[in-house]
Amino acid sequence: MLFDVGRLLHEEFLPVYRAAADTDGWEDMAVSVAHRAGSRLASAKISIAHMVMALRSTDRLLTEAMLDDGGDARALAAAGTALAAELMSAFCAGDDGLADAVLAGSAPDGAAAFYTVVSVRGALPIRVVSAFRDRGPVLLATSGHLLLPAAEAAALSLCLDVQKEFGGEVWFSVAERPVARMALARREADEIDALVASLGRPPGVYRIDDVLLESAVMETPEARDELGKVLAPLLANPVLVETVLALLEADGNRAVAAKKLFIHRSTIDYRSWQIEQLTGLSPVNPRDLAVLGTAIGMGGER
Amino acid sequence: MTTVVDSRLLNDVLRDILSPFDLPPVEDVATRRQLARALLSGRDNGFEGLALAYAVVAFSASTEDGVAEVLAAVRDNADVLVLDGTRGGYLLLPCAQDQHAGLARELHDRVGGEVWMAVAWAPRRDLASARATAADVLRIANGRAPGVYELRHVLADFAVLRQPHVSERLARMIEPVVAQQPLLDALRAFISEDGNRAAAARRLDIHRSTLDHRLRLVERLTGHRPASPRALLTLSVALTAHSCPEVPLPH
Repeated sequence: MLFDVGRLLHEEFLPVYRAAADTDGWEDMAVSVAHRAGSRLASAKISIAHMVMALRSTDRLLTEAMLDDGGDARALAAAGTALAAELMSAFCAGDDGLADAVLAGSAPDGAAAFYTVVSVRGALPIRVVSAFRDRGPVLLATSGHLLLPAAEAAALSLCLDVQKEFGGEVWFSVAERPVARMALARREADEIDALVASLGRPPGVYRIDDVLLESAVMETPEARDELGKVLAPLLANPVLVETVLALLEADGNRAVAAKKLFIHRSTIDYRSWQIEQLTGLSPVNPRDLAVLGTAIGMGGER
Repeated sequence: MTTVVDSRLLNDVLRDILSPFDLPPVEDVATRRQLARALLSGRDNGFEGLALAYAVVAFSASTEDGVAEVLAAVRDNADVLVLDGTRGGYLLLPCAQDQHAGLARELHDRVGGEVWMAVAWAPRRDLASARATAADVLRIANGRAPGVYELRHVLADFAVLRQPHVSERLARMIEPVVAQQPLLDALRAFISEDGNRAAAARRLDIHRSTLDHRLRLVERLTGHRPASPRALLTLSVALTAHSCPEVPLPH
């Protein structure tokens, strides 16, 4: 559907700016007007960039017009902000409540056969949504979860693109399920997110595969207890914890880890020996090193 | 019949024929075996003469001679209870907390040959769960070099075997690698040599660059980079999930 976005916004928003210029009580009107416009633009599949441009010029035109008529600048600015926020949220939520209905486990009309749930950490979901919208369809639930009507593999590369675009401190945790089992997918995404956060993993896109071992350990009481016993003697000794983490980051390379910690290579070897004495696990063995790292990461979870 | 002997009857018999603070004499192998079986099954009738806590050692050997060697090493110790089978068994060694690993290693040092030992410690009431842990640890350890293993050495494998939905997922992930023998060999060698490329290449008698190439293929097929310790652990656990034969231990 082709229509003039600027004109639509201008027509819809005019009464709100007018009200804000000379009376109080424009707030409710702003919410309903912006919500209606946002949903309409979303279902018309307008790109977010296009909408933002139209929104800017509409705001400028209307504000100037009202100021010329002697309107209150402060009230006009407030109205403009409220309209923009509400418009964005309705626009991004897409088809009124579809995301919430899908996440709640019902499969309403218009739902896809399966979705990938994305749990977002480190950025406002609403900002992330616009980045996804530039690349394809996306739903935003009130819980802050994103729903991509795509298989995990496709969703994964999409997430990687968006993650790169944001750069810096953004974590995505993804899980895919058929639409009838979305509650499970949401739980899985949240579980991955919690593990990634407590393990101190770097920003990125995570699937269950990336935290499978940790999640299996968490679910197995004997293994969880044993991990606690491995960790206990290390916790009394922060220098050893730091050494394990540095070695992990260096892929087990002792020379690289020593450089990173500004210590001599022989110091690393001595600390490794201490760690083995205390835990029975050798940082020189990559599998043991990974278990030591898991124990430290899980320590934050307790 | 056995179950009766296992529980009340055995207890009574023992009370009658033994002085209250002694275990059956070492010559009475059958009665001592029943006692070990009862304890390992969680049936502790408060026999006199038992220790408060035990190291449970599940062991297996590549040959029957290996089993005989383990049994010979504990034969003269009247405090050790044995439940043996043809290819392995369980030992119950009286043991204070945190001493079990050292105790098992000492024992392992005394036997030659290919012997795997998995050791867990528990107060007498919890011996059944210690037995289950030791049996699973032994099962995983059998895929590694002979030696003494504690739960912490096979922690991730252990947890994954107990969580079937995780182990199925990992088994699927590693399937394309298992399907190509050269890749499987390269990954196994790399894991066995603790991530040492040169040693792994030597073990397979291939050039180091060939090994690197195969490991890159493993990464492409699985999404896990073998050089990263975490990823190597995941790959190693996936191999366990894909195939981890049961160890024949007595019931």
